[in-house]
Amino acid sequence: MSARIMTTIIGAFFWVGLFLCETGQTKEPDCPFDSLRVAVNYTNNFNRNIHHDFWKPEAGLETGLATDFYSGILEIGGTWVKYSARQKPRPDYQSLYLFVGWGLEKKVMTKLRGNLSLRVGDHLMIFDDDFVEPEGRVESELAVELAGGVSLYLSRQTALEISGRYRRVYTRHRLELAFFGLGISRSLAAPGWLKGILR
Amino acid sequence: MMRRLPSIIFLFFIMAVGLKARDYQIGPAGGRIISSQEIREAGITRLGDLIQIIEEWDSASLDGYNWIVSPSGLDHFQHQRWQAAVDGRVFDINLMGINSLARLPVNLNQVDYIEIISEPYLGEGLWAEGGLLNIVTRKADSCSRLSMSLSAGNETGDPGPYRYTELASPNVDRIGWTGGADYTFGLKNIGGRLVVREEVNYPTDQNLYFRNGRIAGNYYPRQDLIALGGSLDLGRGGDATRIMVGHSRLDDFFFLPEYGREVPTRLNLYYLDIHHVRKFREGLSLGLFLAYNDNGTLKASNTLDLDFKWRTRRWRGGLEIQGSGEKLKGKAGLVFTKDNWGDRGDGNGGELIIADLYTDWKYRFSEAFSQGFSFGLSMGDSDNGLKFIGRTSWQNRAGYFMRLVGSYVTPLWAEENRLWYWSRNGFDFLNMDDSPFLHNDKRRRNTIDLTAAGPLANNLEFEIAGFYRNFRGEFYQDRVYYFIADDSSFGADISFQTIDKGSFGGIRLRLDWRLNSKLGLGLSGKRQEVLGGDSFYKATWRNIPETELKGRLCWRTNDNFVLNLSATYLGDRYWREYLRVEEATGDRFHAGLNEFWNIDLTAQIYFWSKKIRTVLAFKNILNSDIQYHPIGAEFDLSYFALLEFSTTL
Repeated sequence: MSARIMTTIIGAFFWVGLFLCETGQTKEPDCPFDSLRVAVNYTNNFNRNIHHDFWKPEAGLETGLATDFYSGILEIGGTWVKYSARQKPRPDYQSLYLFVGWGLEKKVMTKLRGNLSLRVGDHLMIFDDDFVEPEGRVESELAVELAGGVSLYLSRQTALEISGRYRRVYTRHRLELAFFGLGISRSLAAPGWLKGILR
Repeated sequence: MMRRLPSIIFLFFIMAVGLKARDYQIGPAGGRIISSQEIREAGITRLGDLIQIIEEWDSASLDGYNWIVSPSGLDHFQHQRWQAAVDGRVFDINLMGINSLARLPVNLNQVDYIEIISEPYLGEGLWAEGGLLNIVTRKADSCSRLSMSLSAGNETGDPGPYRYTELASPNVDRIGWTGGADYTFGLKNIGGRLVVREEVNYPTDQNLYFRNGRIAGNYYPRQDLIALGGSLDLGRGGDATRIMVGHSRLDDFFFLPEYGREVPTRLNLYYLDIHHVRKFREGLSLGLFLAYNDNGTLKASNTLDLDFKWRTRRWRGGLEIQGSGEKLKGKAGLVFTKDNWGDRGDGNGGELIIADLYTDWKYRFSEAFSQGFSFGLSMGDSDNGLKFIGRTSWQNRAGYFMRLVGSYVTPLWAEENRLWYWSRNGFDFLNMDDSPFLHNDKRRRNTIDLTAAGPLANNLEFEIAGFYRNFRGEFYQDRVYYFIADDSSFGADISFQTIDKGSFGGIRLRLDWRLNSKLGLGLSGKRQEVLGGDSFYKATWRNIPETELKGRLCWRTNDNFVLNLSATYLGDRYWREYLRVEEATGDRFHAGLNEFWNIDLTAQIYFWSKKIRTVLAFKNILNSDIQYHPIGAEFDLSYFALLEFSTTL
């Protein structure tokens, strides 16, 4: 996906989201931070570009926490993926993306909900120290991710999650990473002390 | 970028459905107010960055940390006659023509509002011909408050994993961090404040990184600031005393125009101000003040072995009597200023004592119409200077407001030309010929500012302003910079030019639009240009863009969550002094700087009943080619995060 298309999608998402919230098209929670949803996903980086000519992605894991916000949904979380060098002595590295996101959620059917969110965060790259000088072992850079998915509710609290993510890492030569995910989530009532801090 | 302009403007208007007008706010000195809410929502995380949200002022920077300013054409980038004040008390932070706002011992979260005066101002012992930025701090009433904050930023463009491939690029993209704490208390007759702040700023541009690293002896160059301050307020029966002390130390890469490059040095500032107001009866009071300001540099290790140890000390003392009746308000004062400057090492230097006699009157002819004037006489160094400001104001009940301000100044030669003294007192390396302006007796400046504001509709507020500046007998530096290939730095040939006459003018328009409690829109534009003067005068002012546009869209879901989107367009600029550098380096450095659009996005969330404030700010989200100075940094997409904790004890 070209940078221009990515920028346009992100921009459109921002403006449409803002417009929907402003005009009351989305659910406005009466009580922000009332509930929490914990999710764990298996994730796989499936696209291929110049970055993947140097490194091969392994299976990854994403975990996150989402809650009702003043408008839309607020989420925080992290995604871990390992990349193996295709040619030595280039180092292997592990990427850890720590993000905060804001998005929208909509009921599609009785047990099916769709969600779309925009995430920003730090894309940490931890290199294998067998090949790397100590000062170059950890790199980090801003990354923006467009995340979407559906949740199929198996019970009132538990749902099966299918997701797709597109992440852009703002290194000098941009990293463009697309992910497919499959996992499970569980909704919980937020404890009173936590609501007191967050509100 | 221009192709995106219609869609950006369209989106601004689409999202601005239902805005409510903001009250037009005028500060105690007659300047425009920028509230702490606006400052916070703009995503400002460093004190020095306040300069960037002042729409009326143009600014430029090499490193994104120290800014030079042109306040509505009162000055160009060579002089910096504008003043910075905290709670109305002036800090002399000007050093060799650079006012670094970061050096003030104030934390951003202490700021209640800033007042911007873009016309000459005279009052309370303060003469601010080049404009005034007054930072007014929050007071604690019958309580005490503790605040702590930490912010950090980073610029994008790291090599990332590609550093281990043939696509590797230099890694100089960290910005640095700011940490601060302050404690404010207020009891019945006593109040006070303590503040501490540290800031670290790294160059995020390869040219700056290599140039500054090399002159400093090949360490990772950075600017490191520590600021400490305190104040004590004592009040009893209408009398009030305020004592302010402050110190800041900035390890800086100080841009020395006479060298054409940055020089590592330590900037030291010490400040003490005692201000007492004795109230005789309602409407009659006497103010007394005494201030000491020590501002200078200390040598830092540099490969040029430049012994850069400069120091200026300023003592100011004076009295001011104020009276006010039903229709007439007036004040008169006498201030003595003693300036002492020189080299710390060899003792070369000079001294100057100036006496300022001034008066300021305002008569209210009717509820709507008032007339005021300020008159000042400066005496020193066998010379006299005259200052006159006239103000006519009209404001009706419907909220329409109009003000005409005119000023006429014949400045004291000595009070503003420190560089001249500097060269005369032992700094022979400057190699400057000061004879052309030694005998110039035609120095005078006059300004006219006309401002009108009011509601355009129930939900739309406007301000339109025109300004005109006329300069006679000014001296400008004719700087010709050249490139030194050995260490990728610069040198300078400098001579002086006397400007017989030159004029500058412009027009500003601002709209504030608010339909409901959630959305606010601000749009502003400025067009300014040289109206008269010779080719050298015109070329000097081409450093300043002729056109500037700003827009701000603010979405508040409630008091706890705010999104702010701001856009700035800066027209092209031309720095004639870097023409030789451009010729020598080809594509690397350019005398002409291109226009650019800059769009910033800031999210602010409060937690824990507003005890915790978090900010995530993205600057230059379009990753435009932003550059303010020909040899300055190019600023890419960058981001800042701030965590602030405040509590009432």
